[in-house]
Amino acid sequence: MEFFATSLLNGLSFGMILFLIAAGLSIIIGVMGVVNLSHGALYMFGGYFGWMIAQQLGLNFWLAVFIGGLAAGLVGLGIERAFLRRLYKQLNEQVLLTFGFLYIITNICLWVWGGDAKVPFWDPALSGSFNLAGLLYPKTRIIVIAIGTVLAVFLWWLQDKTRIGAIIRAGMDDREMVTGLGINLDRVSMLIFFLAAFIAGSAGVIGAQLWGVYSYQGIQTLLFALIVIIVGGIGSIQGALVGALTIGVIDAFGRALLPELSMFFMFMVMIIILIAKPSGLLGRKI
Amino acid sequence: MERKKLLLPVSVMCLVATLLISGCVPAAAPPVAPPVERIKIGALVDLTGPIADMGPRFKDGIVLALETINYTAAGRPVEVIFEDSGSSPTIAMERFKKLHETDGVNIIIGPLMGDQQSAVAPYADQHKVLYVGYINSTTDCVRDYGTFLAYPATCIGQQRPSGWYLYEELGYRTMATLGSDYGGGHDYIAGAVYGFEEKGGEVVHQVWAPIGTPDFAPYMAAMPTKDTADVLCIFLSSGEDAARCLMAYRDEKVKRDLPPVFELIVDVFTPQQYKDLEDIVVGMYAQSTYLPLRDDPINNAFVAAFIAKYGETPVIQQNAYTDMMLFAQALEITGGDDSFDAMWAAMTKREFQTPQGPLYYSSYGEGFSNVYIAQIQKVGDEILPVIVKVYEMATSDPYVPKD
Repeated sequence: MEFFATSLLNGLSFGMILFLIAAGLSIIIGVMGVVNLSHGALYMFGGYFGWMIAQQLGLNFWLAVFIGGLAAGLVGLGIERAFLRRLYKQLNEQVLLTFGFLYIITNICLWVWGGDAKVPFWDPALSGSFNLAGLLYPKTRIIVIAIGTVLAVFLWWLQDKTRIGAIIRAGMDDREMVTGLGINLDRVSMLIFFLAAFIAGSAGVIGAQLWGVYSYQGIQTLLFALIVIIVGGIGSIQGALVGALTIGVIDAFGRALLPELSMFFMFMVMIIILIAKPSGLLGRKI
Repeated sequence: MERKKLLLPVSVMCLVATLLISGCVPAAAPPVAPPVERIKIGALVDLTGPIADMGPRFKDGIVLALETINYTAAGRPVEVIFEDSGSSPTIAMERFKKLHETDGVNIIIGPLMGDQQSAVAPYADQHKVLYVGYINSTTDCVRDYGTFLAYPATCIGQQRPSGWYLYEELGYRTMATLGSDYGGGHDYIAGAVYGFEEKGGEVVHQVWAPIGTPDFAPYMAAMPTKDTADVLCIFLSSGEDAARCLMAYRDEKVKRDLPPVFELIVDVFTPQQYKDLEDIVVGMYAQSTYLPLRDDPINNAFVAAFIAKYGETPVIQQNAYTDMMLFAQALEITGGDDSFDAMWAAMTKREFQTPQGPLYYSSYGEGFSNVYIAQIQKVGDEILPVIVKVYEMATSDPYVPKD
């Protein structure tokens, strides 16, 4: 029973980090039709920035989460304003450009912060464990689950219950029509891109509580995010959440019970979904 | 008018002066000695990818060695061409070929990883390129090919004494293992298991984790407790993987009585990572073929020079330093001949004195060196591995033929 509960919580905490990474990417692809392959690098950039604030400068961890998000948000906004807004509906160019930025940002991080990995760090108040009905479980992992849940609710509310969410959803369906109604979709896109990059950067610091920060994290997290949105469905917050948690839990149990197949589980889930439901678990029909 | 008259002689004087300065007037040029050909050495270091933390450290060691020999060997200037092997066998192979075919290099330091070494082995063998590892190698590179020097030993050879120590000195009888899932990772664990079983120990649980695993908690959740395994032997290919693994171990140990950890390669940690992991690593046993606290004149001089240059205590940087220094010594022996046959003869069946102690390469290229068992302790402000036992020249790989 303890093994089951621990593995479930391990899967949920892992899955919530995947959700934090994938949520922004899913929105950008869904709303703007932009495939931003530099998203993983923005996650890593936020993580390094947060490490600098929290560990090097010794400032508050939650301030680091905000500043890491802000730094990544501004970089993302810069990429969107300077390059991507000229490349809407040009998929090949988007892929080439943003993949290039993945390498550029990765190398800038290597240059600035060096190749040595930054070990996991957190708010000192989060050291130790919570006692969950007799099961001791690290506070940092519980906090990751809690933050992921709050963010999922917030993004669901934003997308489904607000005017801006309605504009976003309408923009996903018919960009021309929305623009024709006098809505400045360009400004909305800019805001969405900043928000997605901000979430990625903040996630880099939140995730650093478990994973730390390291120089190949950009490409690794990009791969995770792509798998999550394929499994969950593009453009849907609920899809990203369900996809991330599904992968997280299956991966956690898989690694614990069949460790020799560690590399396999995430991809196995993706392959099954691609065969059974190509639009993803909660994605729109394609 | 006066100006026009002056224009011609002044122009001629300027032209002559220019020719003299540029050396185009043979009569005025001093005799020039024929240029001394540079000796080119290649170095494959991982500057990107999952083990990008290793590359800069090796580079530091090589640069210090070059400064120590004043960038010369056998009276000829030495140039090291660095290439990024990208933590990938494919990239390592491509850069290895580039170093040999484009840069004309015959001797190469690196690559690091067992899978990278295996990838380049057939090419190196076919083209007679001498190459040497940074930290061990898989057995097949030494056993099946003839141009590789397993520095300071093969993975299996280096870890065999770990198994002996766990059984004989610490009294453990059952072992669980967790290793990085690649060629070298399997060989490191195999070496410790070989030594442990050789003495009568039993392995009860084995797990392999992909390189760059972000979360080790699932592996720890399934790790046996002390009731089943006396010790948990860990080998992970980089400090970042090892750090995340030890943190997951600590989290799980709060809940269950996990066995103590024995870290097979302590070299992967940086001094900063030791500090960050202080509460977990202090008191832990580990193993290495080099420890900076080893008291020996050669090592003391190296450590002092390294700290003076880089401001930190060397760990695996020593390996790259020693690789470079031994190539320089071999070049002195060959009189600057960097061909494979000359260099192989100079490097093998000869004992060298290095900061890690004596080092000997067999005619198969297998390295023999001391194995240091250490306990990680707080020494002043630093956290460092302190030697508790030495196995002298004990890195014999049971699967490699002997001279």
